[in-house]
Amino acid sequence: MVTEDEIKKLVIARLMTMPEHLKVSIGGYGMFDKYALISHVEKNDEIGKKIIEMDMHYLKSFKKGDK
Amino acid sequence: MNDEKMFITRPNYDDTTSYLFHWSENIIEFAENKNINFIDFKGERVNKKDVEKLIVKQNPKLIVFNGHGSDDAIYGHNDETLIKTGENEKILKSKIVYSVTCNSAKKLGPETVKSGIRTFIGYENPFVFLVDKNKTCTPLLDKVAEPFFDSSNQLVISLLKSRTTGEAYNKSQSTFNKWIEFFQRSDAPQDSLFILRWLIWDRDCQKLLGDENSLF
Amino acid sequence: MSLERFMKVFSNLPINVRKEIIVVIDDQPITWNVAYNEIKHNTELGKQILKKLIELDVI
Repeated sequence: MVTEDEIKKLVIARLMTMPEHLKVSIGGYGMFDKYALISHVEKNDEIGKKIIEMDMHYLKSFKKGDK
Repeated sequence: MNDEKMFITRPNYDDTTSYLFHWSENIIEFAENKNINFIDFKGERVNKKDVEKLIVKQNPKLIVFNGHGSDDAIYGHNDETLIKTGENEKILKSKIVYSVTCNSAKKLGPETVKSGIRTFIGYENPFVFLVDKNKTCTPLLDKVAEPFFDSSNQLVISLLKSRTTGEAYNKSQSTFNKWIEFFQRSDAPQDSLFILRWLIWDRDCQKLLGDENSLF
Repeated sequence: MSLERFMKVFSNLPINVRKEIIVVIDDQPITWNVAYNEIKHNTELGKQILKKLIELDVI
C-alpha cells in the first residue's frame, strides 16, 4: 500500500527537477516557483494537496494511453 | 454581419490576472478584425455593479470571464464576486459563457444550466499555467505561457468564427492536444516536460455544459 | 502480468517523458528509463519498482 509520505516524496523529487526560471500560476492561490511548490507539498496544505493531485493526474494519464 | 455582442472581462490586479489580461488581447484583436461587436471591461470596471448592469442592459450573447473563481462563483477586480450560485446566475440565461477562471464549472456551471444558460464552458479545477519569471513584465513574449493561452483562446476565436459551442470546445481541446504532442517530441524545447504536465491538467479539467449546438 | 502492464505503458511513452522520475525507492528517485532497465532484467529493485508503480496506479 502506497503511503501519503511516499507520494509526497515522489512529487517533491519531480519538482526538484523543475528549472529555476519557471513559475506556476495556480488560480487564486497565486504563482509559485519550485521551492514554494515543494514547501506546500511538504506542509500538505490545501495548495500542496492540489499540487499532488495535479502531478498524480499527469503520471496516471500515460496509463490511460492519453497523450 | 453578426449583430450579436461579445462581452469580455479583464481584471488586472495580480500576476495571474495580468497574464489573462494580456493574452486576451489576441481575442480582442480577432474580434476587431472581423468587425464583431464587443464590450471590453478592464481593471476596476470589472465590478459586480457594472458587470450586472452591462449584462442586463446590453444583453451580450457571448460572455468571456477572465479572472479568479471558485466552485460556485466568478470573481472580478480585487476578487469581488461577480456571479455566484444562488445570487445572480439567472442573468446568464440564454447566453454562452466561457469562464477562464478556476473551478467554476464544478457548481456554478451546472447551476447556470439549470437556470437556462445556453452553454457554459469552464474548468472544474484550477486553470493552471506556467510562466517564465523573466518574462512576467511582457506576458505576450512568454513562450512558456503561450500554449496554455493559445489553447484557451481558440475556443473563443472558434465561436467568433461561427462554430458551434461543441465545435469550439473540440477546437480548444485539439489545440491542447497539438501542443501536448509538440512537447512530447524528442526535439521539444527545454521546459517541455513541465509545460506538458499542466497542459494535460487544463485540457482534462475543461468542460462544456449545456447545449453543444449553440452559435454566437 | 505486472511486466506486461509496465511494458504496455512504457512502450507508448514519448521519448522525452521517459527521463521523468516516476517513483522513489529508499530515497532514490527512479526514472522510467531506469525502471525499464531494472524490470527488464528482473532485478530485486525492478520487482520493488513494479510493485510501487501498481500501487501508485501509474501502470
